[in-house]
Amino acid sequence: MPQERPLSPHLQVYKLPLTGILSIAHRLSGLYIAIFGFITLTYWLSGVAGGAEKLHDHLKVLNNPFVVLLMFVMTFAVFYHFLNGIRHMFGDIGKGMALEQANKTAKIVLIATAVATILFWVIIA
Amino acid sequence: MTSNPYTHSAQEGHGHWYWQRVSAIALAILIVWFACFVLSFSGDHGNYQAVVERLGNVWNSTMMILLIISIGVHASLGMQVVIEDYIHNTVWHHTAMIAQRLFCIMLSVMGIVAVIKIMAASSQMLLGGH
Repeated sequence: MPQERPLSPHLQVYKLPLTGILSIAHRLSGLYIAIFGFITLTYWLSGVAGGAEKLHDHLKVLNNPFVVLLMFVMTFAVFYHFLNGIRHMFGDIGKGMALEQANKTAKIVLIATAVATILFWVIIA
Repeated sequence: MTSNPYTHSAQEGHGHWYWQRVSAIALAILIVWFACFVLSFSGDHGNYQAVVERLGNVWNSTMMILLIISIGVHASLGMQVVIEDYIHNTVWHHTAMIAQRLFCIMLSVMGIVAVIKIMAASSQMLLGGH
């Protein structure tokens, strides 16, 4: 295996700054949505496509308390990935890259994610 | 297929970078629609009639299909990056990459087929006068 190319930060031996934590959380939330979120959306749609009884069966699974908990985490992950993704887009056009600004927007993203998640579940409940 | 996974992004980097952003912008818009769509059921996403009626609406089915395609593209590009960064063993690298792509294609097609079936059911409902 060639070793000339740089490796990603060794997470076991390197204490991440706040911006680094957000970066890895972006990947983790992305993976969570890509795998579990994508499956859940398709499962719900295929339930609807299969008719009233099929939807009823699929909802039994989706309304399982453990799955509901996973869906709560899902809304958090989606809001986070969405808001932090917009933060990344500002980075792409060169805005908010200074350390102080990056730390500030990082905190804004975290607070906005928490508020949006709670608001979403308050409205839906 | 390249023999060295480290060179992968160096060859396809621009296309990856570009489509990652195109799908990201599409998703930033679509996720707002999806949140409103989910909230519009106010917890009644199990009401068959209501869901079919709303998803059968041309605007909603269009947005749902676009959402599925955008998730498929964005998820695949994202998982590709994670695999490139963390799975260095050549065999596992390619296995994960192929599995990831097939997973995204499979779920995308399944979701779109489901929406088409829902559209058909919705037309049936309209014709039947329900």
